[in-house]
Amino acid sequence: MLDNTSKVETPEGIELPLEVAGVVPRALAYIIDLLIFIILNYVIALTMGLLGNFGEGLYLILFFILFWLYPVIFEVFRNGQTPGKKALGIKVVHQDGTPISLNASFVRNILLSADFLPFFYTTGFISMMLHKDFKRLGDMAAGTLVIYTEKENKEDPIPKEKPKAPTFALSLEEQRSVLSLAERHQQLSQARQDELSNLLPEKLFPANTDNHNRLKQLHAFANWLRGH
Amino acid sequence: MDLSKISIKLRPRNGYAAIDLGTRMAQRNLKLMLISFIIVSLPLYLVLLFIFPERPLLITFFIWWLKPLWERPLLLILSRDVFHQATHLKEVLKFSLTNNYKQWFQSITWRRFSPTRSFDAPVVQLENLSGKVRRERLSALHSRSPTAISGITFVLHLVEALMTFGVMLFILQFIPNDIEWILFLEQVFTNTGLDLFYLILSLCWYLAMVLVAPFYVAGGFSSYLNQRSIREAWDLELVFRQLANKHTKKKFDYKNLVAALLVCIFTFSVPQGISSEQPANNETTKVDAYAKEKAISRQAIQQIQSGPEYKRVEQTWEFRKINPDKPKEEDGEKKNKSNSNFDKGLAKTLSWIFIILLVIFLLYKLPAIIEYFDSGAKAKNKNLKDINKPEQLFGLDLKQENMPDDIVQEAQALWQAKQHREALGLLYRASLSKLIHDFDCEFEDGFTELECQTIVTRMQLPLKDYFAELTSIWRLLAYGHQLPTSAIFLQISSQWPEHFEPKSDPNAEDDSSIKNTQQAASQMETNNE
Repeated sequence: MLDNTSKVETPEGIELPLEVAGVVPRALAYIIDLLIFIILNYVIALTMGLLGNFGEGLYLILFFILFWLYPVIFEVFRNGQTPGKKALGIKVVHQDGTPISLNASFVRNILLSADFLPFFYTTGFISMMLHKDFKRLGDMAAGTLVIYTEKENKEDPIPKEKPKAPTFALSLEEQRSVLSLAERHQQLSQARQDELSNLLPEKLFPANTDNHNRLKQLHAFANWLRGH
Repeated sequence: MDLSKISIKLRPRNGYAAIDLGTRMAQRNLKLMLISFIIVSLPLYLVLLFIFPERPLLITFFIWWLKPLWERPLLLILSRDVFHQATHLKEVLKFSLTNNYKQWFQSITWRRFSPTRSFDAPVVQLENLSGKVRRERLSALHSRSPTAISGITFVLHLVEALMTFGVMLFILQFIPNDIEWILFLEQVFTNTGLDLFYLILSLCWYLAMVLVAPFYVAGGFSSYLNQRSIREAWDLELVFRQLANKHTKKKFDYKNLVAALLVCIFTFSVPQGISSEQPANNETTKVDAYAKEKAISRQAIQQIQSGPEYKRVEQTWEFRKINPDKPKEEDGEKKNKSNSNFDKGLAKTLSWIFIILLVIFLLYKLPAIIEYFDSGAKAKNKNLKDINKPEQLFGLDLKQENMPDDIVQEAQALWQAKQHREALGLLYRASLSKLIHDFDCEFEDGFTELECQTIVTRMQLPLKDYFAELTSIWRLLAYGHQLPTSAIFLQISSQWPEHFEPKSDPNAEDDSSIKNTQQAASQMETNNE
């Protein structure tokens, strides 16, 4: 099964899927960061320009600091997210899923200049499009991944029914699907919901349940599974 | 369409994640897709280049304009791969010669610059929709996450443009300026009216186009699949079918299985699927049956197309003026824009003041800024530190509240009562407790005496020598059962307050304590003897 995740196995033998982010969100995040950088740079240049030679020197120092440390500081101290990444809902982590360290962030951002070659990130683009986990050279060297931040696990409302235990044991995935069907009751058309509930074996329902009541039965199971 | 044969993991994804899945699909079929794109587009490119050699850029532009047609074979490959069907190059060729031109005019004219082009392609090519139905179907599918779908068009166009120059610079970097064959070639090209630079640019553009196209098509197709999967709950269907299969297999009852397989409303090509299953009797009945079948299927199609999957239900929120008569606020007093008249010196002074103020402000706000960047981690660490302060080390109780008020007196009293071990123990325990709580030594559970001593030495506390001595005396007593002489004990216990207790009135206290200890010493000396 093809999926856009990178799997990390913990010492306890649990597989954690990390949803890796690819070229499009990362490029958009970079564009936002670039705009912020240009504006900051412009403001500094304007103020320093009034100070003659001293200002010029100071500007160069500030430019250097801003250019090399802007991403590093944000990545290390703001949970792996520069403002652009935050806007796109992605963040940088080590490839084992742990928060990024100063070393790794430094390496990946210094190597941004290698990805830049020969002209405006050609190497980086090609590398990201061909790598399984969408890594650019900097990511490979630093051992980092750019992943989607997980959304807060919000409980969607489900239709109220009297909770009822399923007549036979359902696996975890099957339980999730029954629950998900109830959670998506507003997004799916009525006909489709009935059709889906008719796919299930008759054994799951009390005898002589007609089409529409089957869905209600499933909602009752969902209420039970959620513990209402 | 049989979902049980699908080769991608079905789950509702956000718009960008769906595009990323597309990138993986493209990676899996990259070789075939690249070759297909080149096979269908390169001949035309070369022919045009041969006919109009003086306009290489225009030719690539033309090829670029026709890109929707070159992308169709790529979509064919992907749509088969999703269901584990391999495509051969022969099939791609056959497809591009015969079946490639559905609604070709629209796709290279007004639909050419649609930001959702790659997302819309499957609706035409795989679902065979056109006209009003197509429009409604699209608007229904677009209703969620349209930004991501146009995001891929924007970003990949950018990538294509940047890559064109990237590849070109890469090539040019490796050509020394003064090499002769280049001069020669250039001469040849200029004589024939062909500029080498533009030819290379044209080729690079074509190359970039070839490289980007598979990812663009796959990203759009994957987004399309994601939308349908969300709207039609494919992931649930798959699980439910498997569940049903599991239970029907047990009873050897294939009725449900067959029924389940037949209930499949959405197929990629409805009319073909039905018409291919016709019995071949004689000509007329065949034609009749075909017409009948066609009518039935058309009816079925119409029925499906009038369903909710082809309609868009929209909930919109908008701001409305509550009081439209209220006059707009004046834009404030327009500031005097005669800044240009300012003396240059004045501007300089002002900006200096600005910078100084900024620096002062930043210094003033520094703790807040540091806290902002350090917020989460530090708060956690602080709590951890408090928690980590051990209450016990090598079996000794170190709780502050269990210590007597005057430790030296208590210890000396114990010593006099011949409880030597308890006396020295109290002194040592009190020292550790003070070190943990007042001197912030980071002792951990399970440290040995020597490890504690190492920490104290490393922290360069002024009392490190004293503590080292105390530790060695304690270790001798605790593990070696060697009692120190009373003189040594008295000395070490009388020195204790000056190392561990803040001195409030040093002269008076010191004098009295020294006197006290001297008295006590002489007393004890006599006692011992």
